[in-house]
Amino acid sequence: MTHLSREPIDVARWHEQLVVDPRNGAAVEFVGIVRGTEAKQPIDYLDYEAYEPMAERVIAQLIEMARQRWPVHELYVRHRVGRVEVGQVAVLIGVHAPHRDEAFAACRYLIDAIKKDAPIWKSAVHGHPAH
Amino acid sequence: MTTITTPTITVRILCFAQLKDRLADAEFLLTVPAGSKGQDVLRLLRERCPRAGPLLDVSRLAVNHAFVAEDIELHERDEVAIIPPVSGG
Repeated sequence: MTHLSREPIDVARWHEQLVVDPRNGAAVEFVGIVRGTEAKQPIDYLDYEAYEPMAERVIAQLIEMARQRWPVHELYVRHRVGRVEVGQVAVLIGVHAPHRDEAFAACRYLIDAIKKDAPIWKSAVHGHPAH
Repeated sequence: MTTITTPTITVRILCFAQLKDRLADAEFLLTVPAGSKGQDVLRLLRERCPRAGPLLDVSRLAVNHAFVAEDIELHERDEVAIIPPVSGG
C-alpha cells in the first residue's frame, strides 16, 4: 500500500525521512486526528474501511492533479485503514513548495478532494456509557 | 427442439460500508444480459433489497476502479463497485 496504511502514522518519523530540497521555502501539513466524539456522542475509536485498489488510484490521481495545478515539489498522503484510536492520526497530507501560497492551496485541495472522492468510510465504535 | 439463449455476462459486484450491511453481502457475482448497463445492476440490487433503495440513490458507481456514469455498458468480468457516500479524512 502506498497511500493507505494499516500501521499508525508517525508524523515525527515521517519528517525524519524527508529529503531536504533547497528549492522549497514552504512546508504545509494537514494532520487529521480522531476526535473523541462523533455527532456529539463519545466514541471508543474509528474503524476505517477502504476500497483499497481504487482509493490508492484516486489519491494518486488527486496528487497528480495538484502537481499540475501548482508548482509544488513534494506531496505526500497517508491515510489510515482499520482501527484508529481517539487522538491518533487518521490522515497526513504534506506539501513542500517554493512559496506558501501554492503549499497552502495544494494541501487544502488534497484534503478536500480526498474527503469527497476517495472510497474510504469511517464508522464510529461507541463505548459503553460510564456508570 | 432448439433453445434460444440470450448471451450473458458475469460481473463482480462489490459493496461497501452501510451498503454492505444493507445488502448483507460485500462481494458477489451477478450474471446479466450482455449489453447491460450500470443502471441495470442498480435496478437489480433495488429489486433484491428494497430497503437499500435510499442508499443506492445516493451511491456512486465505479467500474474497474474508476468512477463512471450509470449508463456505462458493462463487460464480462468487470468489477462493479457501488460506492455509498464516502467519509474518509
